[in-house]
Amino acid sequence: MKKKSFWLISLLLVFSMFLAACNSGNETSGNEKDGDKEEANTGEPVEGGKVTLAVTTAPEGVFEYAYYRSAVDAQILEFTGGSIYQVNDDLEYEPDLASWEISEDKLTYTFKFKEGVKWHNGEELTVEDWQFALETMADPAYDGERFNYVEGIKGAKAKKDGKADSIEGIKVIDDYTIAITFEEMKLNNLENLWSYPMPKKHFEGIAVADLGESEQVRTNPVGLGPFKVKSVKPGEYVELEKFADYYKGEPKLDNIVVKVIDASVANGALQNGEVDIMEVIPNQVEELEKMDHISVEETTGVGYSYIGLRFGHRDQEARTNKDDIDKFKNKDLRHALLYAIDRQAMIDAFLAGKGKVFNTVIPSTFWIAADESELNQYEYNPEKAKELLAGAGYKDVDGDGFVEDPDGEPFSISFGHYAGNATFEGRAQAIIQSWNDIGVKTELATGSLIEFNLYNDMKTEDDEALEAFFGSWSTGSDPDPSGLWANNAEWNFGRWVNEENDKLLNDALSEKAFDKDYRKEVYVEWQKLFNEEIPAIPLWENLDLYGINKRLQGVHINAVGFQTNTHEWYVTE
Amino acid sequence: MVKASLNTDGQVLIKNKQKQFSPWKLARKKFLKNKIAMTSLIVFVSFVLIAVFGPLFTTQDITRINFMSMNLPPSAEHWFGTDTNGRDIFTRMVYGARTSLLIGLSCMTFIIVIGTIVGAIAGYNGGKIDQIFMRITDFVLNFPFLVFVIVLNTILVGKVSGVWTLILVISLLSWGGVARIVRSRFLSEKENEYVLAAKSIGTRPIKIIGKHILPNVASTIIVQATLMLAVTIVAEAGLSFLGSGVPANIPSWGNMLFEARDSDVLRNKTWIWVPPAAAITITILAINFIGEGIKDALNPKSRR
Repeated sequence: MKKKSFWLISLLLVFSMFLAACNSGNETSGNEKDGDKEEANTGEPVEGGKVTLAVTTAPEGVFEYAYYRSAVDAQILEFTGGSIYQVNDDLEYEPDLASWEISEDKLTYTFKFKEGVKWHNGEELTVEDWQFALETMADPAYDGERFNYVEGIKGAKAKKDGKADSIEGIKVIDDYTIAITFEEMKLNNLENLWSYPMPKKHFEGIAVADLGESEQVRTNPVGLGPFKVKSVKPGEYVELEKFADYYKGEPKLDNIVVKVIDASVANGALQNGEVDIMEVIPNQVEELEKMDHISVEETTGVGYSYIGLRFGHRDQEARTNKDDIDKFKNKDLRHALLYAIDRQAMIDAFLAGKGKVFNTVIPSTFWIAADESELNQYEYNPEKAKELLAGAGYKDVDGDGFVEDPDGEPFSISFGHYAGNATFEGRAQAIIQSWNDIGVKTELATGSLIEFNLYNDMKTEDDEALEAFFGSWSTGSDPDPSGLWANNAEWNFGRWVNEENDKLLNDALSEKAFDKDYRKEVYVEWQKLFNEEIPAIPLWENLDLYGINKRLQGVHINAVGFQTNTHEWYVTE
Repeated sequence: MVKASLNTDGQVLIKNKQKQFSPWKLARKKFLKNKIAMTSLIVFVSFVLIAVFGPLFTTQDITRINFMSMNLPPSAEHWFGTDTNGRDIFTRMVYGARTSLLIGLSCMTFIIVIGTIVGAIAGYNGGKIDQIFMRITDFVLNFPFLVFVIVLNTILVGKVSGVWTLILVISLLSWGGVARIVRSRFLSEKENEYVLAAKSIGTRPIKIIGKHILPNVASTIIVQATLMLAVTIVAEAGLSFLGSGVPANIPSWGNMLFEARDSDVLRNKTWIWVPPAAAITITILAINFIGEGIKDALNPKSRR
């Protein structure tokens, strides 16, 4: 009896919540729209002002690049921190706090810092702050996750192992000049080098082991960016105020509030002006586009989706991949699986059209992306898929409507997808249905969408249920695809091993590749190889979407995000 | 004290026996006169009939994603419209009724069987056995239901086929309340003279429990059963709404509600989630009214 009333009450509560959401939404929309039309004509910038950025998970509150773990902390650090280089709209690395020269042997980089750059506490930035950061991260007591960013420096490993007191490859020349020598010549040494100085004076006297938990990192952080942390309310918001001595010029806004809201109320919050800017997902867009005072900005991002196909297993000890499963070894089969999927229809249906079909795994925004004319387009063609299957010997022998493999054995695919967003069920179903339609029997692995963390574990452990699996990946600004597709890469979840693949990927990082044209040529070759082999089924590249209130101006959006030059943000009311 | 209660109970029993109508006939008469309960019964039975026979008449494919007909409002072709995956909502409602009612009825059966057995053994024997059984019951009652169901369901996924995992998990976690009530009824019932009489002529305990006491506590169990039916249907809907109930490709009312988690669907595409929500509400109300009706009908003291 007690339980019954509990359920009834909770059901009632849920319904009343729906109703409440509908009501408040409608009322405020009316008012907002009227008010907005008036001020749209007078779009003059006003001085100061406060802007609210919404995030859907709470920040952890670790405001130091070397220690942060959550993506939200990273967003806050984008406001408060500063970097040696920045990534421009074409995803190339440009000098920011420092410029650099590369030695003849390509092993030593000499950095020249800008003079007069101030930390939030008034101290001046010198190369010692950067040296301090690098030394800290190579310290055996460093408990953050980013040793790999200093690993390439000569002598960093020795320090990490306790064999040296300092990193051999760092030489301070004067207050503004520093030389870094790397262990081996690699094209992306710079991209892989830690680029964030640490406030040495601020952290003085704190043991490396205690740094991540210290008050200086958690509640009283000091950075170089246009905004500094004013107050932190855990789980609710972080308030930032402008730093007037910012080296690129005084920020136009007074305050930025990074506020935590629930994803389900995101549209409402944008609508009633509670939130000025946030990242949005495709199924929010249709509703947002109807609001006059909200603009939806989109840009081709660095994220993409694909269907992985399992070729083998990973030997975790030896850190190598072995292709010992024959299921997908037939290239025509893989081509058929791709031809069977109507990718454009899926983008329209499940991503509100906010995606772009692609045929390799290099998002088009990268400068190394191959021209589409050089690639096979694999347009939706179920008839061709069936022909390819028949040609490869996959025929329906026993008359059950599904093909058997060339040996006449039953053939079926177990396809896995993770749980989350409400559109995932349809997406998984659509893929399964496409393959069933061409006669390849496909079932949903485990019978239901798999919880996300469990799914990732299953992928890592080569779970048998995931013969084919849905994957989404964000590449970051370094175009090198080795992390996900090199033969022995840990994240090469399909365990695809191909000699030509590794040859090209290594070639693209070789000394010859310092010539940009050559490097691009090699990557185009690699993309052609991928496009021909289809070791995984490329689906689409994602568009990054942002909902922005029109009162907020000056936001510069590019493939890496929306937080470039935030000191130029301003409001018009 | 014990004797006194024995006497009065015994007299009531004898009086009933002397009348022309058996207590069951009386109850049926009373129930038929209860308008709310009868309406509810008709509604519920028609839902069950639709669930059982409806799928024989529907023409639409319930799982096929149809890119051409997504999010269509209700029309002559699609009576209740289509959902975000282009599937006919009316057809899914019919199949969903099948799943939801199957889960409700199966869980109810399991719960009542387990609860009655445990309660009967504990209540009849008393003493140490009672203690042991009741501690186990307390243990089950103390599980945080929702959390535990979600965890168990995740562990069992892939090992037992979808819907039956859920039925098993819900049943195993919900019999505690029934066991308690049955036990308390048994405790008071076994002190009656007819039990004493049966015992004294050497009837086996299992026969006493099954043939003598159980019919006398049946009314309580039946009322409990209707309540459990309602509870489990809501539990299924709640769990599926949270995404850890019935596998996503099997339509159930809860799974259909899942789509309402998208704010756009919630605000602008009401036809997608109103039908399953309404169906759940109506079913639960109907079952509860039926339960109340039965309780009234079986209660000799009510004069309605």
